[in-house]
Amino acid sequence: MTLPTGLEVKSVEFAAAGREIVAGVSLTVPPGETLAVLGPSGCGKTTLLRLIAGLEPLAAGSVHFNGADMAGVPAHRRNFGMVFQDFALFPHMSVERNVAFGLGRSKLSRAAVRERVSELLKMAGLAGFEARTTEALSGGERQRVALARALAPEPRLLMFDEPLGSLDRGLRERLLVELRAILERVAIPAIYVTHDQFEAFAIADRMAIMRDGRIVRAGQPREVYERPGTEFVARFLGFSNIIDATFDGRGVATTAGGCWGGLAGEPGPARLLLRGEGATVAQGMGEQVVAGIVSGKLFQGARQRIELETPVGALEFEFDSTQLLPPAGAEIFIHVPAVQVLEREPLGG
Amino acid sequence: MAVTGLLLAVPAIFLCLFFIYPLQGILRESFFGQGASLSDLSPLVTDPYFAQRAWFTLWEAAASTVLTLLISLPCAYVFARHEFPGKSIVLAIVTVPFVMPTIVVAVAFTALTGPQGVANSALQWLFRLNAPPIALVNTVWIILAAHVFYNFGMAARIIAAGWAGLDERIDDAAKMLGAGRVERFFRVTLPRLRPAILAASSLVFLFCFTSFGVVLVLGGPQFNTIETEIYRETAFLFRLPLAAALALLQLLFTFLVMGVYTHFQARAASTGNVVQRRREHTRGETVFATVVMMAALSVVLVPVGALVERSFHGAAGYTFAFYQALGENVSGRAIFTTPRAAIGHSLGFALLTLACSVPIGTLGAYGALRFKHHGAWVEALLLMPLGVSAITLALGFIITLDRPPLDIRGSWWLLVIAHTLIAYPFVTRAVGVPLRTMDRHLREAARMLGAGPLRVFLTIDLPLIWRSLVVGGVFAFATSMGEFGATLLIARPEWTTLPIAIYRYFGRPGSLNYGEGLAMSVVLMGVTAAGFLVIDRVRVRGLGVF
Repeated sequence: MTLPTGLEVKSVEFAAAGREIVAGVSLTVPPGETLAVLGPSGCGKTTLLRLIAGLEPLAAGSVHFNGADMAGVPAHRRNFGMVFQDFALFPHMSVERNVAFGLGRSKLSRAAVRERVSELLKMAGLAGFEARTTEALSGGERQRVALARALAPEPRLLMFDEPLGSLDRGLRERLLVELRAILERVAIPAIYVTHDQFEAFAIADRMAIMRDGRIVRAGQPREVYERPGTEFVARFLGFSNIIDATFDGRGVATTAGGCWGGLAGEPGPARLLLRGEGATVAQGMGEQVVAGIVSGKLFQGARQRIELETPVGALEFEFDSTQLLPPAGAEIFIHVPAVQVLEREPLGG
Repeated sequence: MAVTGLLLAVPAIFLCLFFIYPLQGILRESFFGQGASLSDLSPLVTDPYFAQRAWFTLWEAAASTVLTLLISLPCAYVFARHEFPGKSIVLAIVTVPFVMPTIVVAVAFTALTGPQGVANSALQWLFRLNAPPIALVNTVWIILAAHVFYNFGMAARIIAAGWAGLDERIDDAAKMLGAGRVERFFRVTLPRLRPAILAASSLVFLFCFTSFGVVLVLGGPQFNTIETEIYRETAFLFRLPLAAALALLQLLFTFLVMGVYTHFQARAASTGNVVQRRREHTRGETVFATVVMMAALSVVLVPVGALVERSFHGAAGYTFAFYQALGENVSGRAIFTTPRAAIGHSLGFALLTLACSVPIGTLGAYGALRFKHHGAWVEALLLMPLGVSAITLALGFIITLDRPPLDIRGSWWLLVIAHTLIAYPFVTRAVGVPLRTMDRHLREAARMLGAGPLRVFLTIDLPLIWRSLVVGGVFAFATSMGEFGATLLIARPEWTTLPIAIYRYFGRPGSLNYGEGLAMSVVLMGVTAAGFLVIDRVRVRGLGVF
């Protein structure tokens, strides 16, 4: 008997119309773990999911599940579950028949199917929705039906393709919490594809960031957030204060004032990420301080955002609303304790 | 304002005078016809002949529909899911039969399977037989075959449009839930295709139910449908009340089917965003698609090819004699009109029909737009002539337009009006589509910038609707060129058109008459096919039907 090793993807490739879409991706998802694949649109993340599902043919590489090679196993024989973007509910079937669809070959009696469906709907918070048409459902309800439908045949692997993409923010956050709980309960490997870093942080045990068909960064969410590594990953995670700097003997310095010691590196130009954590308004120039002219302010309730123009470009910081800020056009000094020198982008970066 | 109001009233007046009024004439005639009592209608009930005719019409139409579907479903799959070089040409070719005049379809099938047809000649030559081995003419099989030929391309396009509108992610979802190819087709694809299939079926059924030329020419005397029976009662037996009652029954039934069609047509339109993937096909799928396309092409090209071949085939080998004879005026023949005159009449009537139906159809589309909330109803009302068989329309004319207040029986305008009535709904439908989707604000913006109604029409509307105008206009022209049933019933001998001439030549003995009938059919087919090619070039690309 083989150990349940979960999903192993080795160097898979896929090209369409002469363009490489997935260019050698390897990853593993052990049982009970949720991997979030994060990337901008067109990075190949959905195609990667479809390759694993068997919905697209592999050009190269392999997909193994619990040690068994999936090559030659058609999508409908893999017993992988998938929640599609926009849910792909069967429009000509009721909620009950949608959820029961995958139970077709399970040799369950009619009564057992009914029972399983109502149990799943209850778990999804849709008790009593059996007879409804899918058109009568709200976006969140559709999402829950899609999840219940995917879970019904007790799949060995769950895949999510931007499952919350079409829902509004508040609903998304609520569903994420529920989804996380359900994933922990079913304890099967899961892959969650999204372009939204907050969703990925919230759902994932581990995350992988894709760019141009390749995984450029992988790790636990906290680890990735704390050390984005490259400028691409940092920008994708929402960091925008990235400026040119130079290593001198002692540390790194920018032309907008500010120099930070204790950073190792070869002398020469570098790209520097100024993180917002712990940033405060300073009274004047000093170490770890950048200076600029206030170019815009945005009140956002509990927080406020300030933009400043500096010799190295525009920077943005967020403060509590209680913080008094100088008016537009005035000079401002900001103390930035947390900085990181970013890695050079790999080839083609 | 008053001028535009008057203009919009034109289609309404036309419809009332030449559609509603004749129809009420039929209603009146069937109950209170000349010296009539209800006893004139008693044969309808007492004579089993009529029940048999109704039964035959129903099952002939149903069988034609089922056969058509069997062929069009695989075609629809290939059109919707496969891309291959020359696809647009294949699409055009399989749709050509639908715009072919029925008389030409009938002639083509005799050229293929008739006693002197290509198939019989070939078999006789191959196996040295003395008698033609295939005897399909005047059987129900040739009627069914002609109906399939006529309708399958159109049905395939309707279903293909529905199929292409199916979101492929739904299919992927079923795959992920463990459904194999066959299970997916029956549980996921077919149920979602149902509206498109039912829309196509009801349309095919409607055409076959009221089919006239094919049944008259190919079926011979023993196969009468309700439509040919109305013709017989009117033209030969002069039992107008009986004909009117039959027309009325047929009308009720066709409106019912039209209602079904409209219902499913609306539901067949896809909604929401649809994801289509360009995917690699397996070898088996490619082979299947190739076989289906070859079969579809041969269904169309074999009868058409047979028609063209026979039109050059004289007693002593291939010859242009039949075509040369079209231009000559051979005297001493029993037939009133020469081919040349028939071609002239047809062109004249078609041009007049074009000139009448484009303005009437366009004004109708604009009129429907005026009624914001009931526009769909107004348009449905304007399209009603589409649901009435040609013979019924002609019967209404015969009953009502031969006496005051409207006595135009002697005027050739009668034929122009009949053709316009049949043709203008195509214009209304074609023009209605871009008009409905056009942003009202465009016109308002133009007016605010100082453009008068005429300038708004020329600079804003016309650029948006000209394609539809051309499509509708060519359709109107081709419809008039090929119109057979109504013309046969109301045209005077001196107005004989090309389809009527073909029918007359065809019914006469003598190989020159037969050959000339074939040659005229080829000419007529050429004209309508050319018109169709124009439509196919001009209309907005895609699947679906006009």
